[in-house]
Amino acid sequence: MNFETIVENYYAPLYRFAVSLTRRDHDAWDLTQQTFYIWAKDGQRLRDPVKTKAWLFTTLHRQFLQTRRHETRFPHFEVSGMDEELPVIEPSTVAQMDAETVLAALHRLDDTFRAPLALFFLEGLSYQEISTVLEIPAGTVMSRLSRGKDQLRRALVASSLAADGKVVPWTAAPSTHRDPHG
Amino acid sequence: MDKEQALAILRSCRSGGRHPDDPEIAAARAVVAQDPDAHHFLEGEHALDDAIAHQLGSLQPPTGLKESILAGLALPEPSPRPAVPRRRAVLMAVSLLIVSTLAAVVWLPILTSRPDSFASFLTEMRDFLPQGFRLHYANADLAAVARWFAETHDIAHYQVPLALATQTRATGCRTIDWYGKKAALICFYTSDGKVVHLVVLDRAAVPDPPTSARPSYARRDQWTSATWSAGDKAYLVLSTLDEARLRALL
Repeated sequence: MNFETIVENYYAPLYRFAVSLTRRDHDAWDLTQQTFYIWAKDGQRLRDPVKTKAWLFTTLHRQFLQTRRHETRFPHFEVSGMDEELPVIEPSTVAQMDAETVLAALHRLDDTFRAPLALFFLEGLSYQEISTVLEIPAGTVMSRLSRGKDQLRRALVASSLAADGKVVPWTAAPSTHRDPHG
Repeated sequence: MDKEQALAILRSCRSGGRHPDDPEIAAARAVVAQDPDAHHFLEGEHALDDAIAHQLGSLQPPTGLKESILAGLALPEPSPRPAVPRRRAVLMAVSLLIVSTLAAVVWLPILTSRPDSFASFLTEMRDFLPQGFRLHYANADLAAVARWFAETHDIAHYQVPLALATQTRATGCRTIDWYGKKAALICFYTSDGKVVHLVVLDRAAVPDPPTSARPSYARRDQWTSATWSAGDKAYLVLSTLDEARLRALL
């Protein structure tokens, strides 16, 4: 695959991943461009072309982490206890969701949850694949996905409440609540 | 596997996951299928996953990003060094040393005293262009690029070599501010992924513009440069093409 084809195939998904990690457009632009720059320098060493996509996502994530180490951390959405019940997302909330709402909710989460969630939602990667891209154990990915999704749900409900002034009922999630039948 | 383990696994997979035959996922599905509450929860979860994925997937990359990536990057090529006989290599080295010394004696004081010289400009462009940069205006249409330069930066009357314009694809352009002077940069891309950057500067902006109307070529690292003058403009081309191929375009 030549360079132009690689850019054509992957610049959009990489940009979406980048903008999910760092909300600012220009940072996402720079991260995406920097990733291809590194590919141009080092990507030729990759012998298995099947791994090109994972290589690019891993590289972009590494670049993001390096950038973040030099920055003040954003205030993030506090992790709620796992024993807390999950809010129900009303169909009306889902219907009102747009890309900006979802992105804003995603950016209220901590970095550690945002990266696996972005790959989960954008690329439909399994937890094993996310583990490869982010270079963390599969068990950690599972845990982060689970906690991250809970946080995202809360953030979406919070934004819905803020927008509508509605009170959204809370209900039990089977994984985090005592079984009523048990 | 208990219900919580099963849910943890299935919550980590998109409903349209690509691993339907994974035994662990199959086992988790079997566990959840026996629990209506868990099954109901998971259905809702996957519907929400799909809605979120749909919204995030609708984000569009900004206009010009792809062109900027293609324009700003060059594919470094391994540059195999031809085998040179030892004696010839020594002679070449001595000759180079003499030429370099003479050149340094003559030119160094000028170059160091004039950082805004064309020679300095060439050196800086060799450093700047390979690093990657943003285009200010992404457009493959050279007429539109010319209009953009004229209307937004008062840069006009430059000439793009015909072969360069017709045998490569433009990706866009930007301006470069250099010691208060403005240069125009237009980026081209060959069909096999080589980059050609054309930089145009007013001759009056530098004390030592190229004197010849015929391009003068040089090769350093993986970049070939060509410089020439025409009318009131000084031209510089930097490319990852080798000299022979670049000559064919200028």
